[in-house]
Amino acid sequence: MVLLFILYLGQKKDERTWTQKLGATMMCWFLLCHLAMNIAYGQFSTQIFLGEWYDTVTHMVLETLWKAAIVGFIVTALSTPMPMFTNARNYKIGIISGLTFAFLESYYTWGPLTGKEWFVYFWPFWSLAPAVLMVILSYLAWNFLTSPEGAGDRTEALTDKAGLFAVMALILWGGKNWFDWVGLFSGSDFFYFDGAPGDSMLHWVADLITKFETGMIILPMFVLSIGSIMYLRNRGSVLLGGTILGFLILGLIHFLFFSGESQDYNSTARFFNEEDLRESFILLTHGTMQSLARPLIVLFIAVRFGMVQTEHAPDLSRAMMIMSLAGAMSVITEILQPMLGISQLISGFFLGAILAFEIERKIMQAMQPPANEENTDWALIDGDGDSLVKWTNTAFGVYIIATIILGILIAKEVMI
Amino acid sequence: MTEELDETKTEAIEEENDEPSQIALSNEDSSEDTSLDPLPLQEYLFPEKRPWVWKSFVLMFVAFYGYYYIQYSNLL
Repeated sequence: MVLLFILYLGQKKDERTWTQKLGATMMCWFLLCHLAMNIAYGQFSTQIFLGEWYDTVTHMVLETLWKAAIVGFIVTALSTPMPMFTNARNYKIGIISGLTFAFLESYYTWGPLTGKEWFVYFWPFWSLAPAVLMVILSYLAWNFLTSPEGAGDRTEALTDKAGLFAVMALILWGGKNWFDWVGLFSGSDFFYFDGAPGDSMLHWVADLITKFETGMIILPMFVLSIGSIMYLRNRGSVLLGGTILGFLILGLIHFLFFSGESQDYNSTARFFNEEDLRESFILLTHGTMQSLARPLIVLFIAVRFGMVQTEHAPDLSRAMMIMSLAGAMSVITEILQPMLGISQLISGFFLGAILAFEIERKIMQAMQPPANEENTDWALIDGDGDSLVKWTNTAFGVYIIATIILGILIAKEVMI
Repeated sequence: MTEELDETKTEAIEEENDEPSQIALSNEDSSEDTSLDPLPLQEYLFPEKRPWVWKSFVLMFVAFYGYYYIQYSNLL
């Protein structure tokens, strides 16, 4: 639904800058990956296991979509809230390099090399690229959250904008894993390795990249948690600071409940349904972030950073917000039901409250970008922005088609 | 409306005197103004007023992965 919403508003002619249009397009790629994953892994009762060569190709296409989304998100993070490049030629070199590396990785992880003795199963690009992105975003978020006042001059205003984007992007990418991984340093499960480091240089590289990726799942939460305390002290925004701290507290509860050797339900059994507590809590944390918060965060990013303008379709925007909130409440109710025994009717009551108090209008208004915010149409050297957006989409299309052909060749055993 | 009339009047008088108008001058100024160009990356990432920002981040990063490495080494 959010994908269709952004696609519809993204087609409208308005005063958006090319970086905002680029951001909208890249958010659509990100959502497309989720849609493909949900379709393939049974969300809509369709299973990926079709048999024969279809399985290999389908898995490769899913990976391909994710890698396109990663490249797209990196581009968005470095262009929409803050201009990090001004040369179109450099931009194209970056995109081509990223997609080529992703393509070669598909050949490595699925192709004939898997039969070699020296082969080590890992994803150099798929693991490394998001981890590096998380480092950059963590630093931008840290810069924003620790700024004493912010927006005092133009640099600070732009840093604030980039920082807010970074905070939301970190929650979007890492949030669902935080609850499960907060006990990173307590168990040996998190320190798996594919062969002992030192067996070969490739083992050592694979291990290093895997450890770096694992660490970058959890480091942003610590950075955001410390930053949010400073943010609360400096600027007093309970909403943003409290939300981030909520992640940490939920993660700690999750860890205390389920990461010890023996699980002690006694303290909670009198309040909750003991049998379903574990599953319910996992659903409430990991599941909620995956199915509920991600669409809302994408919606927030798309509206707040001007990637789409809701005034083109106010009624549709209002409906989108109501559906998102009602869906979110329904998910929470469904998860809480076995824990607390509450009725599904709560969802209906909440929907009634949204309509009665027009909560969706207030939220949509709060999402709108500030009127005096700077959105300069950054001039590009050796190219113009609008054609660059089209070029990027074409490059993504070529990359996906090329990987499908590669997948068919591998699956048909042509490439042995 | 009054301001618009005043501007038109000023423009007309200055064109008669073969001098560039106030409006034209101000436009020329703004085209030379580079304040809306992209900022250098360094200004974003390393704010002069708060040099401790990047230093504290590096410290957190090193401490985090250092602790990670020690834990990992103990398990091997």
